[in-house]
Amino acid sequence: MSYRIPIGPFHPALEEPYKLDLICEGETVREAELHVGFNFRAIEYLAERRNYQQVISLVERVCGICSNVHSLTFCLTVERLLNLQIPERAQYIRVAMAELERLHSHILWAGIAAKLIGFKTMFMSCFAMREKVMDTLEMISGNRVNYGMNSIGGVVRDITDHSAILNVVDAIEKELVGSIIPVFTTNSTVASRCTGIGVLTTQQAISMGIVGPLARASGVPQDLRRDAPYLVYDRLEFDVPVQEGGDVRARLVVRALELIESCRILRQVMRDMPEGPIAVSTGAPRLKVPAGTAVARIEAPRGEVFYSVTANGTDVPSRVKVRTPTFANMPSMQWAVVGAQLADAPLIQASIDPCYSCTDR
Amino acid sequence: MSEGATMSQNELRFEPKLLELRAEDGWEQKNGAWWLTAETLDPRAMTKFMLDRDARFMTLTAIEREGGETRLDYHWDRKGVILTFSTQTRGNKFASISDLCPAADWVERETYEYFEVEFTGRDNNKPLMLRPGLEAGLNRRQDAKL
Repeated sequence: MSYRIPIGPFHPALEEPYKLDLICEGETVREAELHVGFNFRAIEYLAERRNYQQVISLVERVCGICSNVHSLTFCLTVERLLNLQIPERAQYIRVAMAELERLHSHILWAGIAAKLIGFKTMFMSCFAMREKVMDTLEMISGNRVNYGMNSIGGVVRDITDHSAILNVVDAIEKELVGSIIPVFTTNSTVASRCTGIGVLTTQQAISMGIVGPLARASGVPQDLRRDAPYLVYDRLEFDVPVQEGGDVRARLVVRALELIESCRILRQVMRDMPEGPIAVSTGAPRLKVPAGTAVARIEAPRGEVFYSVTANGTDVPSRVKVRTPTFANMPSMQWAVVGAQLADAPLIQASIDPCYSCTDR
Repeated sequence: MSEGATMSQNELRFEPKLLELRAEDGWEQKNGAWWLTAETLDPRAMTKFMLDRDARFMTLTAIEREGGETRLDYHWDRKGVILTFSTQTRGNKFASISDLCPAADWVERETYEYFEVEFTGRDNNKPLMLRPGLEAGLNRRQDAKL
């Protein structure tokens, strides 16, 4: 006999509001139904009624973790419509912000995963480490969540203290290599909670069009930084970790290894960043953009963020489309939990690293 | 495609050579993607064609047109390149591809809510984003009450 367990939309087990209906037989999940939209703020609608300068601030509020990637992708899209080449130094600064944000997001996720696995000490370690990254972002931008770094034509603040950033990178990498990666990859409790749990096969990942670390943990070797490079990623050396398992453990390993790669990228950025201006003038805030449609995408911490902007020659875009990675990834939850034990469902949904603020916009 | 541009092809045929991305087949590279604009497009033939060639469905962008119609841009990723098929609705209706491509399920539901495009052949039209009391076609309204 089956029974339905409704979880959410407001529930102590959830970090954000959404609703999951699990249909179970005994302790086994047979079916799952996902309901989103509880965070709906009509950001696309609002963006089509504000000028380009205002939209930068608006889209940065799409997400409270990867806020920078939204203003960055929007600016990249509009810069394409304007046929604007931004200064090299600004491109390096944008990469630095993007990789610091990836560190922030992945470490936050590692902490939440550790808590759900039962490693509360690890949770505290991860959040202490996350503070170092947030302090660094604050040092650069003056802000800890919505950084306000991107403008159409470049960035609004320079990075001057390279050694402070490199010291944080060194400290984080030491902690990753010394404790977090060994625990995630070799600890028997972690292995028993995560191995073979919440599996998404390569074929499922491809047919659902999932992106980012979730796809890479299912054997899909896609990463826009390498496959469709933007900014200066084509000048930087880094590996794209891929795992074949498709389970929670594979997601842990991919994100842990990506942290190391972000440290590697940040060192190169601090070493290679040229002198020069950090923005070109565009006449903002009353910037008028020639008619047309442009698209841009970047590899955000959770995967591909895609923007399509249609301009009509005025200072207000006529269409701003935002496709976030969780919007692409979350439907796969309905497959990942089928056959799982009910007690594993919270960890499985967390392993997707969902962001409902992004999804709902 | 610039706003208000003329649809360049009347019939789009999906043949292997289409992915050679040649100008004579209607492809244009600009603004971050390759664009193919077709007045008449069979979305199901497009979907089968792209999936058979290992393309990943990224998303669908809807843009309001005059006369109650909607421009639809289907974005695909193939080998790191964005390929966009741009077409438009007839009577603000268009055939669903979600049974062929599960990745299109949510975005079709969302496109109905924002632009009132009816995707024919769907068996799940449950609301995705809009709360009770908000009517479909949100982005078409000048003064939506949010």
